[in-house]
Amino acid sequence: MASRSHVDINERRLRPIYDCLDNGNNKKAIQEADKVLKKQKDLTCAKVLKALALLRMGRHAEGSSLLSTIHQSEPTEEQTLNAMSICYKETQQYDKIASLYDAASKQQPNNEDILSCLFMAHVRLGNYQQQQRTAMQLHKLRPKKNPYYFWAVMSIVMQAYQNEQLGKTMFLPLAEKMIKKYIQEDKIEAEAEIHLYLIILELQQNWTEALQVLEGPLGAFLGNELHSKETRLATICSKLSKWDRVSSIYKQLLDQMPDNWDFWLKYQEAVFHLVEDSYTDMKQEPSSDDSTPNTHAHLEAMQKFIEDKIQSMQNGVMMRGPYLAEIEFVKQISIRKLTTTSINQKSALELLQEYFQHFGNKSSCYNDIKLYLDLLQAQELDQLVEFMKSDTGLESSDGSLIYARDVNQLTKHLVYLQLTRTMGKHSLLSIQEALALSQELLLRYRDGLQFGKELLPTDIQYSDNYLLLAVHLLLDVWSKTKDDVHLWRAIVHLELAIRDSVSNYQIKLLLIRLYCRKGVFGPCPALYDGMEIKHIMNDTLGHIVSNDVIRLGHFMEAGTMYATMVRFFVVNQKEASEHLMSSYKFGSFGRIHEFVQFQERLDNSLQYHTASTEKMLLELIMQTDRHESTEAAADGMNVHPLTDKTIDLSKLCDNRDLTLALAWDPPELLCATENRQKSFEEEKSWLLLRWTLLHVLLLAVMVGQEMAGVGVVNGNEENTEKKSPLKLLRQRAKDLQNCVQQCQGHKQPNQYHVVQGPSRTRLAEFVSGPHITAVTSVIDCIEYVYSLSQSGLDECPDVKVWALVKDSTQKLVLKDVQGLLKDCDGKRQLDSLALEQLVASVESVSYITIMLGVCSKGLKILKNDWLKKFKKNKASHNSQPEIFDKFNQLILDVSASTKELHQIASCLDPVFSSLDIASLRLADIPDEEQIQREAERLVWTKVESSVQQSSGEICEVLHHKQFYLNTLML
Amino acid sequence: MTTIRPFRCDDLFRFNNVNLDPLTETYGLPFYLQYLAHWPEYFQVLESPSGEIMGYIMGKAEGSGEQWHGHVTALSVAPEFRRLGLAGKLMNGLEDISEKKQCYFVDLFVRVSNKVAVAMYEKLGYSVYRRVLEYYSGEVDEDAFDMRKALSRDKEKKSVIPLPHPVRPDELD
Ligand SMILES: CC(C)(COP(=O)(O)OP(=O)(O)OC[C@H]1O[C@@H](n2cnc3c(N)ncnc32)[C@H](O)[C@@H]1OP(=O)(O)O)[C@@H](O)C(=O)NCCC(=O)NCCS
Repeated sequence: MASRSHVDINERRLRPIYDCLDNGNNKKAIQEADKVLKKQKDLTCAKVLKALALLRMGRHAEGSSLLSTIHQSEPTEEQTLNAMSICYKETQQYDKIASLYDAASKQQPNNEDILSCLFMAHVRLGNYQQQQRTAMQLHKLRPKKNPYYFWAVMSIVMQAYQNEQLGKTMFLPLAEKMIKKYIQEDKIEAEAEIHLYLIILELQQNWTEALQVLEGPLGAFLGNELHSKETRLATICSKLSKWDRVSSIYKQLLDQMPDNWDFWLKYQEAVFHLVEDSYTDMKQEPSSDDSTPNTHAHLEAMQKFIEDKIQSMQNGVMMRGPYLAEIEFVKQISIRKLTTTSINQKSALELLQEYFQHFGNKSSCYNDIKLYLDLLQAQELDQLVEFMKSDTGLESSDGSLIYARDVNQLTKHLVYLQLTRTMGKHSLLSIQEALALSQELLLRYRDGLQFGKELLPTDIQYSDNYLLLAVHLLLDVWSKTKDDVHLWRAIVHLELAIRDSVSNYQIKLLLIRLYCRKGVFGPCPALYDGMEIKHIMNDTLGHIVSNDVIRLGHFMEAGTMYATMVRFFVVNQKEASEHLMSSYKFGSFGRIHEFVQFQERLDNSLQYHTASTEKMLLELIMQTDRHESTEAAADGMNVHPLTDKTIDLSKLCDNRDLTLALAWDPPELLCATENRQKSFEEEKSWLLLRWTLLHVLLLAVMVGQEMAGVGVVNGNEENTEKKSPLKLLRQRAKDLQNCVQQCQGHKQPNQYHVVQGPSRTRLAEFVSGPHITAVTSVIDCIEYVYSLSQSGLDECPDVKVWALVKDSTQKLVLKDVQGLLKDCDGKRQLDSLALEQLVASVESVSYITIMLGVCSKGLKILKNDWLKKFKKNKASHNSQPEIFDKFNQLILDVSASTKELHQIASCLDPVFSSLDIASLRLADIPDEEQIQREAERLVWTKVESSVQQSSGEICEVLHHKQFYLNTLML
Repeated sequence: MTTIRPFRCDDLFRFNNVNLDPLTETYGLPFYLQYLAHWPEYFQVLESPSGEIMGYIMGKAEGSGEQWHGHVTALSVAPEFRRLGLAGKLMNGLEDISEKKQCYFVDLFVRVSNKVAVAMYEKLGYSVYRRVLEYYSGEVDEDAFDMRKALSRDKEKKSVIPLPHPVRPDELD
């Protein structure tokens, strides 16, 4: 090893290179490195830093070859290894980091730092077996350092997670034995070590032993933050059915924290187990008399406990926990068909009324009561409604409007309204009644704004939910009548409300939803950005816009949005293993498996796969105006069509947050679970179709490159046999048709709940429209051209392939589109279906153009060859083979269809002045006619400019396609 | 009433109703995961009986000598669950843990414009220790209050004696 002073000199020499790299000045870094290397040829680290600069400049070939030379020399010097790891991290070649440190540790088997880096390199790869091996090496080297030993144990536990069977029989017993050994030798040092022991016992469901640990001397190692020890103890006791013990632990905890809901649930569960046990005891001892003293004793004790807790609050702070615990008790009694002897026992109705009385002024009361509505019969529900109605004091009998005096009264009234909606009362209203109620709520909303005058702009107005309820009622009417006037009203009210409550994301969410329903994407990006959706929200909330942005032809915005979404996942993948490494360092063993699962959930996210597939498809549409640019775009994509396996739908995770939008509809109307399931299935089918389409296109491009004699590079093909792009293209084309076959049930678009439901995909249009047929018809052409390129023009059978393409392309041209306004029952309504179909056709034309580009590429070579031959022996061949003209004719035909689409798109631009705006006039509130009128105009302006934008972007794309097509002529 | 329990990775998929609040920052994943790995007991979440996330607190313990203290990195309660004493409950929990770890004080930074939060911290016994100039960057930079509450170990409450002058972010220790 170099002496210390030596190292210092080197450090000083390298410093300028590091500085340049840090400042992003890669060119200068290379110069500095060369300077150093001139003085000191063998300073390996300088070479590595030079390689790093090369890589960062995009000079991959040079950088990689320099690196691999150094790699082969098996360096051991710390700084060099460090720098090389950085290079490999940046190029995501994590396996090379492991092999680097592996070689180094062989050279210097007693170097602790190198071994520990090797361990972390294996963590990054998730190679648990190697982790274990390396940790044991470290342990042998430094037997006094406990963490190394426990790294090994944890690595064994991870293998148990990986292989459940072997886990039970081999890994977990081994891990347990290793820790026991340390316990016996009295070597346990840290809380983390006992935690790991408990994890191992719990995984083996060895509860008895776990209990012993917790209660024995080792338990003293465990901290007791927020009662973690008691709750852990209680969990283990419930596994052992020690219900007496469980109930007493939770009773004690509830004495300290009577508002902790989890404690209440577990306490009750334990007591009900005791009740059941006492029944079984009785059956076994029939001698005892008929009554059920034990059972009742348990129940009465619990009832008393709850009542005492309620009593003890009478003069202090009111907590909801004990009150809700009493309702839960009644629920459990009724589910379990038990009876109580207590005469004081109130009915569920009484308890819920009481609850409303006490806590109705807190908005969370809605969710609490909703949980227990099932306990009431229809008649009791009506009684509850009547009770709440009079308790709010805001519902007069003579129909006059009494406004809330303060925020408490207002909130209580809202809770009442929301609950009645959940009970289905709004569905019973006639159109007239619903509109009248909506109107009343709007007035209440306006009045309630006075309470929020002092609020900060970051706060939400107290009365906003009046407005949301009013809007939901309008949407009810819209669904029933199909008259868009109600929907536009809803939008105008929301647009007005957002001015008074700029931070209310519920309003933004609903506006996005409603605009998209009407084919208007223009206002959505600003609303979406206004919600500050970032980082993991790209996964959970990206769905709010990701289907609609492309469906409605906002190509540019789609590109930006997909890029943002994909970036989140990609950046995360690069950083993911850092936390695993810190968990080993901090001994947070409990987190390691959790982190691994979390990462899998992100890697398999539906949103991730959809966004990245859509992003690439979009690039093939947007970045292509000649075939060279298509090839460049395809090469730049991080997919490997020759080696990638078909996307595994069964692994996908649905991370979408689909409950964010407030909706107080009855559960049977919301259908939250069914909708999620249905939409997940739809999304998966759609993804498979799009993924396959993408691969068809990329393989087609490869076929073109193959015909031109360009070696197709694809992924690390080191030891995969050479695959034929054409063969795979055929396979994928079949897959594509299979997708369509399997989606025959999706010919009609799915409808989900207006406010809260997921958004639909474009599956229906692609399955029922002419798109897939059109795309696959060109595959036949490619096959044909390919066969010619193999056999030569002499065997040039006359085929119908060209005619098929022509026909199917013509089918992409929409018929009878007159703008986006439709007459429905004498009313002019905006109809976005035509827009959606047009966008789909534009996409398909783009894909067809790309594939024709492939044909053209092959044919151009053939034509050149023919021309050469032709010049050589003029005599024999004098007429050009027909095929060239036929192809040129096809290009002209496709180009003509493109022009027609262009024509349609430019006519989309709506002429709203022709729309009878008077019919939409929203004289809801006379005082505000002026403001509403103005808001209404604003909404129309947004609609207009959005449609203009869609139309403009479509025209732009088509324009490029025409250019592309022109370059394909032979 | 609420269930209070340690924050789990999966909660990141469900905390939108809390985080869409404009004063609640959504951080990159590494930030959350680092806290989960390093200070798991300081990261607690509240769940309602119907299973929604009501709010959460994220914090840590750091510093050496008499600067050993608990720190509140993030605290937020979803709008529909405010004014139920939940933030107070989360803060108490964090103070308890810091007491157990024998910290001298607990501190936090808050936007000077965030009147609600400042009022709440004052009610909970916190006071302004110093003002930090342009601590929050944005379209318009904003100052922060560094607020503190002494724990039992700091018997003379030395840690909370206010500084007379504001400091710049780079002067923070
Ligand atoms: C600040 C915040 C966490 C308070 O949460 P909370 O659960 O409503 O607070 P609590 O109910 O525990 O309030 C405790 C006390 O603080 C004060 N307080 C809380 N909110 C208040 C408000 N809007 N107006 C006036 N005082 C308020 C009250 O004195 C209250 O006690 P009281 O209800 O008995 O009068 C919450 O408003 C929030 O999440 N805001 C957005 C995020 C944020 O600003 N976080 C702080 C960043 S440092």
